[in-house]
Amino acid sequence: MVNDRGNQLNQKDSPLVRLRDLSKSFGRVEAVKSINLDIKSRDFLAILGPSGCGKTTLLRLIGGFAEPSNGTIEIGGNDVTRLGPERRPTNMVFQGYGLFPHMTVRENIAYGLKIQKVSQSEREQRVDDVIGLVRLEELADRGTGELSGGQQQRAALARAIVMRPQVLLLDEPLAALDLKLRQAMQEELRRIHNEIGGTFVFVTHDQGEALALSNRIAVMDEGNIVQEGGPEDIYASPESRFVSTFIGEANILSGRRQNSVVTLAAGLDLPSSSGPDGAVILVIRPEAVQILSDNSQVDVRTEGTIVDKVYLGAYVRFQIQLSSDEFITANVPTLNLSKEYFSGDRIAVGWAGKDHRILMDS
Amino acid sequence: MRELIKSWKTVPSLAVLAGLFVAPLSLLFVVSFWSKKLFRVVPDFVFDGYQKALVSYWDVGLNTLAIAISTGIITTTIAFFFAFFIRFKAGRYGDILLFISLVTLFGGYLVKIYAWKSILGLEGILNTALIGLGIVSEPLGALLYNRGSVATALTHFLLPIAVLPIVASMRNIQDITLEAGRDLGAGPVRILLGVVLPQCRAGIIAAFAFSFLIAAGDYITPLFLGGTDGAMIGMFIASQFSIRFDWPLGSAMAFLTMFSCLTVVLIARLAIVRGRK
Amino acid sequence: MNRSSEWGWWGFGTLVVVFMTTPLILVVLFSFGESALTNFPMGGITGKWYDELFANREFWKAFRNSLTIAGVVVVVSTGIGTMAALTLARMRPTLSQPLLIALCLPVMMPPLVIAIALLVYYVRWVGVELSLFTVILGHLLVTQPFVILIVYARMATFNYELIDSARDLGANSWITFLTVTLPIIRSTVIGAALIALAVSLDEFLITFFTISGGNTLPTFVFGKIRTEMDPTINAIATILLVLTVSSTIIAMKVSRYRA
Repeated sequence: MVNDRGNQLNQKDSPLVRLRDLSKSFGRVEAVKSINLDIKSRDFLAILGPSGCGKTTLLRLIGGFAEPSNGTIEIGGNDVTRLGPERRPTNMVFQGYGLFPHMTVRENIAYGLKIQKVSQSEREQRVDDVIGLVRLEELADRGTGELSGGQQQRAALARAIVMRPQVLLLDEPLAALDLKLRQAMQEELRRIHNEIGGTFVFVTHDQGEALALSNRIAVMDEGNIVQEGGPEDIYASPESRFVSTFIGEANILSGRRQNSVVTLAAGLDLPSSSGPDGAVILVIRPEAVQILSDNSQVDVRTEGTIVDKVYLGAYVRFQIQLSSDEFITANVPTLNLSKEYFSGDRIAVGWAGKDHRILMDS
Repeated sequence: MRELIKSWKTVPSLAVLAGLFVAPLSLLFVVSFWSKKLFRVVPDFVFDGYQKALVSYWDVGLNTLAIAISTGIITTTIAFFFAFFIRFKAGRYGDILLFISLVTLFGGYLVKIYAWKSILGLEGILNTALIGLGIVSEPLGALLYNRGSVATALTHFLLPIAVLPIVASMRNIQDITLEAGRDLGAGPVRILLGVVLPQCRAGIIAAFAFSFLIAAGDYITPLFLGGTDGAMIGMFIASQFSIRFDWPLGSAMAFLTMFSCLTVVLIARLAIVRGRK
Repeated sequence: MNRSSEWGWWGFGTLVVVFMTTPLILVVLFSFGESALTNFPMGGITGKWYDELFANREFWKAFRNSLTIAGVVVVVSTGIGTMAALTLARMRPTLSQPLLIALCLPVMMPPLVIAIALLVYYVRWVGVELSLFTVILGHLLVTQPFVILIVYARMATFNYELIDSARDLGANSWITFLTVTLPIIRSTVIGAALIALAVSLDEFLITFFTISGGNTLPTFVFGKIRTEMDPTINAIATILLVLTVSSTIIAMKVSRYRA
């Protein structure tokens, strides 16, 4: 136990949100399995995972919309595990926006402040400020039914932000928007996060969105957080087959490790690989795979046959069959291609040893 | 457990159900085994009520079932075709027609009976109209106080109730299945009986059950329109409570009636479900 | 489809509508007719049956009783029925379906059976004096199923994210109900209340057996039909009809009738 003073002193470095052994079951289904996660102040955290991985349940647990079966939630040093959503310093932007259809945009945004009995003058000031922040000045007195999807999204965001939550929760905030709008809203969200300097936690199944928006990503699979870290770390150093294929594209080659030597099924030996013996996989991103002219020097080199070739403008995408009958994809920048290749050509491919990762095959 | 605590808001409604429905019906069931000594009803466990009911009122009971079954069949049949008309034929007028039938649903139970009495009476509207048009020379007495007049008024009363569930079940039938049937060369009758009917069985069962049950339990319609020929069991059940004070007999008759009605509904259901596989 | 069958369908449809509406239209028509008998010719147009009815003190007593009963029934039934429906709508189906069926049983039973059961129960078991109060209780039983069904059906398309939103913004469950749920389903609740009103105003059998002394509009009509074919019946029947039909029409208008 830490006394009050100690608690205060720790405040600076200690995380804003602290989840400990958090789990949630619905009947026999365990949606969230004993999760431990720290969220620091000013983080823009993405909870990323495929549908049904428990990410929305986790968000709802943080917001207080579901009660955990086990574990604790602390926000700002206070245990809020048993508090309802109305008593937590969190606000949520719902996937369907949850705008009240019987109120105007302005009334929607003022709703929470009215409940808190914030004085009228302050209320009007704060509402006007966030309406400016999300750029809805023109539409503030319209009904919510008259707004487009993107405008509803901004209104929902404004309604949550005006409460000045310690943590802003966003449930698939961009899923309902079309591609153009989604990109515009991504910029908008980043701008708002910079301007108000809050802590944002958002749930998404879209790895591109997670990479573009967040400064930290927690990847979830089947109720567990399987990896957590900065976007670059996660992309460059995936720790499992699931993470490597879910975030970005990856080629997976199978092999075995014996006495620190990895032998790939494709007929390659990679020496000096420390780790336990057993089945392993080699993960290599398509953009790291090169097509080699005869004399080029690379760390890893093998041969294969081009089975498919797609021209994509900035780069050409090759599908190459290796001797093990495994396929490997190479995205080669168009500018780097010294000659033209055709399907059926036998070629040499390779990559720098620092670009691949070798993981135990689970 | 948590769900039960959260559901306290259903308690007032359930209390009404328990206190004013379950308890009184249970008591009535108990009373049906009591005995009547002179002018007093005393707690007992005898089958006198049931015996008397079966011996003295079996003919009225059968008459009741006959009227209620024919009313149920007529009402359901008309309702089926009318619902089909509303759903597939009337186009944009369909909603208006449904609206009209809904409006008459809650309008004046007694008013309807009274209206039929004035229409079918000796000096009633139908007779004066027939005489006025020279179709008959003297009023037809046969219009009122028989099974026909009871069935007519009941059908009128029950039609909106029967139309609703059938229209609801027809909502789920897509126009395309009708067109597909026509495309495969099915005639209108084949489409109606072979394509539409099987898809709205649930609605038809509900319509028949409702109209049959309400008809069988009614007592004001036969009282005013039935005469001796159209007498129904409800009148005699009511009189055990209002004039004769033979509660055990009245209760026994009520439960026998409900039991036979339930049997009829179950048989009808079986017939409709099995009928067209 | 060929022409003649199309005409056949329209002929049939018209016939059914005529069958459903004519008796009611005739009653209204004859309430303004000069002739004392309900037959043709109905004579000139007159308001004398209404004058005669309005001069009858018994009519006013019955009218007041009907309104008193219906007033209390509508408020209580709408209140407890809405509460139950909102709760049932959020339960899992394995629990809510049986409860829903149970709560609706009273309208699937013959009203006569409920009437006599209530009579025996009041007199023999509870030992309560028969009065308007006992009538009100019986009406609650047969009106709440309509309220519950109507509100429950509405909640099937209710967006529960709105409730989560309100809670998230600091509203407790009572404030959420007042500021979000109720305003959104208001028209449905009003519709349900009006249906309850129509059912209560029109209810005869339970009233007849559990009122002891006094009249409501339906029992007043009943007394008149039984004793004589008094022409004022047309007038009072018209009034009853206008009350029940208009509340049904308004109910369906406000709740955009989803049956």
